[in-house]
Amino acid sequence: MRVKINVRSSFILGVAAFLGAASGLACYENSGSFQPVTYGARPWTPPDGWFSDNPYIPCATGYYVAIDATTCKGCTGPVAYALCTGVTTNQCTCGGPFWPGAECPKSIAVCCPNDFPPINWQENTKYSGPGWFGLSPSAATSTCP
Amino acid sequence: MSRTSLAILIAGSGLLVVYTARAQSDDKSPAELAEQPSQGPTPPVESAEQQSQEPAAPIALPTQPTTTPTPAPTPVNPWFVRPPFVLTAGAGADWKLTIYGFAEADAMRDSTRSFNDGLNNNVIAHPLTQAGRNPRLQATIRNSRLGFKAETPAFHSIRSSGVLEFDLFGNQPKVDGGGGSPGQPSGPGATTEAAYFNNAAFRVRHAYVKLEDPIVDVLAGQTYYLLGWQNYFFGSTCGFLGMPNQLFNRTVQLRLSHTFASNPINFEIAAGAFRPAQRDSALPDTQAGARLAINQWKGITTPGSGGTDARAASIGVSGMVRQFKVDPHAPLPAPTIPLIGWVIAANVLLPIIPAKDGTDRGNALTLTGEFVTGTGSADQYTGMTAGATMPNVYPLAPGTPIDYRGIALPNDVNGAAPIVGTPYTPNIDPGLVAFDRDERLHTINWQTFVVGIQYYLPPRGRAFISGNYSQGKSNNIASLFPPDSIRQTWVNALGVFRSSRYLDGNVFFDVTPAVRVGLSYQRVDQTLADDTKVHNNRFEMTFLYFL
Repeated sequence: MRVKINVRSSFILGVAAFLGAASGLACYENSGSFQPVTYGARPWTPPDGWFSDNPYIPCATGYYVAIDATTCKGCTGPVAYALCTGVTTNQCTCGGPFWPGAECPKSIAVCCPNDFPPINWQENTKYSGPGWFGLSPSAATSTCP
Repeated sequence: MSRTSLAILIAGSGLLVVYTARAQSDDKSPAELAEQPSQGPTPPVESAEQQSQEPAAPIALPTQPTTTPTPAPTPVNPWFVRPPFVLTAGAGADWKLTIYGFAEADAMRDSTRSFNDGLNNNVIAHPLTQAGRNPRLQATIRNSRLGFKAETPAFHSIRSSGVLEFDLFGNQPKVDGGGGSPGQPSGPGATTEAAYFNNAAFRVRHAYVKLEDPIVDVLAGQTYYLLGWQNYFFGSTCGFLGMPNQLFNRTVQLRLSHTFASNPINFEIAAGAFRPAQRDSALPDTQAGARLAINQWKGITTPGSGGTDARAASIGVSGMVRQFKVDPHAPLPAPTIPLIGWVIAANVLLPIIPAKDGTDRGNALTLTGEFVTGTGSADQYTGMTAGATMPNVYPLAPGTPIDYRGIALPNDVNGAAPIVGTPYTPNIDPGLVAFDRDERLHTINWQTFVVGIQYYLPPRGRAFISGNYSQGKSNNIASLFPPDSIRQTWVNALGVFRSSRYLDGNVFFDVTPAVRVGLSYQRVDQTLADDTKVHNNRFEMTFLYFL
């Protein structure tokens, strides 16, 4: 028994779908889009004076400064983290759960359960700018649920 | 992502439909079977840089068989006719194995120590370096080639063939080898010179299966990229392809194509899924193209240094879209950075003084051209990174004192030790993307063009001359690799070029129908990221024996 199928149409449909998918990818992303450096990171504008003296020396990717969570959009806990992305500190993330090796920021004696820094990031202990951005260490610990 | 996966499934389903329909039509009448086009005498298959074109007289090596048996036309100049080496088997001698290839010896002298045997797209050594101030002489047989094409009898109008082709580039230099600039080893790199040239090892070039029927052709395996309709528009040169700034590479792919054929004009469309440049993108690269050929207007062309044949005047357009998902230069785990790479290419083959067939070479003049623009596309050019590198070190601790090179000073060595999270290992090949000083990732842009001309001298065309000019430019690589980037210790602005020009002139002579000799002058000019202008002059001679 012979099965009649319009194979030419199938081929054309397949190729058209292929090209359509490819052209759809072109709208996916570009280098101007926001590029988070850790999960949950979002844009953050540092206050005046942060890392302004020599932008190349005091800031390196992988280091954070603890900040008042109210300055990082969407955070509900007392502590958030300003993240250095090379030249500037322009991203922040909320405090998160403990991970093996996690350490509280130096000025906070005890972290609340969801106040830990992002995985594998370390505190910029040599930072000498305004810092904390309004966050009181005692206030941070006293507000643990 | 899901859209692409769906498209692949649809395309694959289309294929299954095609071949299921064929398989289910076993009850065709003898008359129907008789109408199936039989496969006529098949000329030899592949050559130096030849593939996927209509067969001509049995001289050089097309692969695409004709769909109707036609008597072989009498060649204009029988001197060029070179019979193929074909082994046959089966009662009808219709199982065929064609052996093809060539032995090649080359010698080349360069004014700098910037290149291995192939110029390709290496970076010319900075004049401040030892490599930039001293010459180099190399002799090599690595461009020799051996290939096999197997063909089996048609089955319900489906013709099948398989190709295995090798050269002797098996022992590879480092990806950035030959640069000779600071941070880059000069010469063959990973092996000794003697082993590199004398113990040349097999390397696969093509390995694919091809199914052809009147509805759709399917190619699965490794062969040329579709982008640029390789190798139809290649120019002629003694140098090893690809020339600087020329689309030239091969990879694994699944390609669908169809040619709408008529006597005056052929129109071919093709699309395929290709091995992704970055496997962690988890998506195949996609390429597609269309090509128009004017069948009765043919020009003599030699892709590379062998495989001289007549090819129809043609224009082609093609494109590529791909995705990258690159780990950020930050403590991991972290969200990958998604970027898109794309390329558009236009090609032309213009027979200015046409020819009747592949042996009608005397006084034939042919022009080839290519224009390409895109981003995240360096891998489409041979050996192309332009010196762009990815980070391989940790960020230095905040406040670490550094010297003018970005190296941590001894009094704070501990602070310079890796201290941040998981080590950064790029999950992508160099040259495609780069981080700027703000750790933002960018695809690297490239715009290139190539123009080539070939003239086959009268009376018979045994001697011919060719010339090629190419140019490439990136409008963002210099800003990604700035000379003052002392904190980015992986950045070497002395070893990154932002523009490149190439010019060559070649003379070939066919001593016998199987032996060709050639002489060539090739010049490469580059502007490095620090605005230094560098150049390399190469003189090359080549000897070829075609199987």
